[in-house]
Amino acid sequence: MKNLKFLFIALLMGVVSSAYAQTTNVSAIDKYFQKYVEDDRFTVVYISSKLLNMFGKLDIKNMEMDDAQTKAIIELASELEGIRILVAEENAAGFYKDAKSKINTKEYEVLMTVRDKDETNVDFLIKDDGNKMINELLLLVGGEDEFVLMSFVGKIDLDKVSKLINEFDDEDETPKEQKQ
Amino acid sequence: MRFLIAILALFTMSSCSSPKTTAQFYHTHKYKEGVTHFKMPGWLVWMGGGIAQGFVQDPEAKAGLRLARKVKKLRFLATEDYNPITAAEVNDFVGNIRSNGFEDLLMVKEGSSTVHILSREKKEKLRNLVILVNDEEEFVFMDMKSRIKYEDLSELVNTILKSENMKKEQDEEEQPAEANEEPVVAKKAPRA
Repeated sequence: MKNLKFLFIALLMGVVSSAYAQTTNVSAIDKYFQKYVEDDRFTVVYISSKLLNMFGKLDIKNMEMDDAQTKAIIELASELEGIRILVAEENAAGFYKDAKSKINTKEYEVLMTVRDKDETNVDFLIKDDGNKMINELLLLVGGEDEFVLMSFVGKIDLDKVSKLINEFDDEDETPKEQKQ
Repeated sequence: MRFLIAILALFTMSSCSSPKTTAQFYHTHKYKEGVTHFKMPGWLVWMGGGIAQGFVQDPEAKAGLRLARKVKKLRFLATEDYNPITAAEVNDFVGNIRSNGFEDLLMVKEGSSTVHILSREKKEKLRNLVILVNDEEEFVFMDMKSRIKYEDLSELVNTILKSENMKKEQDEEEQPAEANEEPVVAKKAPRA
């Protein structure tokens, strides 16, 4: 009976340790997201890789899309593996500081930082593989009234991003050309 | 021995506490106060879709009906003005179906309102789709079994885009035609 007890406890510990091993690979931002996903103070949006992969399974090349912007957005979205958005209107500054402290500066590189007179901070951070491919794009906004965390995970091709920006720029320019 | 039985009993009790499948969730809640329930067998959707296709001319509607005919079963629960199903029950159910092969497609939460869309696929076909909308006053549960392929969705999107493009072209043809028409000028009657 004693041997059976020890065997059972050993099995339980094996299961618990393997589950723990899986969770240690989760990044700090993932943990931050998981911590607040059930918090009623936050508005949460999570779009999984499954739904984004469906865009990849759609026959985009043969789609007769007249709208070049939509096509560019879908091409970019099909390479994403997940989108997470957290928004809070209470204690915005506190959440912003907490999120910033969780970011591992060895993993993330600051792309841009903006700080305005109203003490609103905007940070763009990326995690890349060094080959024009961004693995994660993180946007942090911390102001008096609002905290926003947006995380785009996947293979974000900078060429596709600039193609999308060009499509939006072309649309903005065409009204001026029509006037001329 | 008693220790082992007690542990086993604890595990079985915890597993019985919340529904593990969409069918169990449907049967658990369908007779609760304020809950409207509805179940449609696949053969009815298949037959209805087939009959409707003969009467419908719009290509988008036809494509939608072709897709609807691949639905095998549909279960639906809804409440209005009163929600007897708690957020904890919904979260437990979502956790249970995730461990049964369902994966999150989309989750949106704002305050006490949540929207979950989960799916289970097999061999490139969308086998199950679950939509859960939970609020303090409203609740919607939709469970769909199907054999819809991603190519079918692609075909539907393509048909919708094609018909939108055709409508745009028709509108553009009509506008220059109106612009080219000479304006009607009222002629004055000659003086006597």
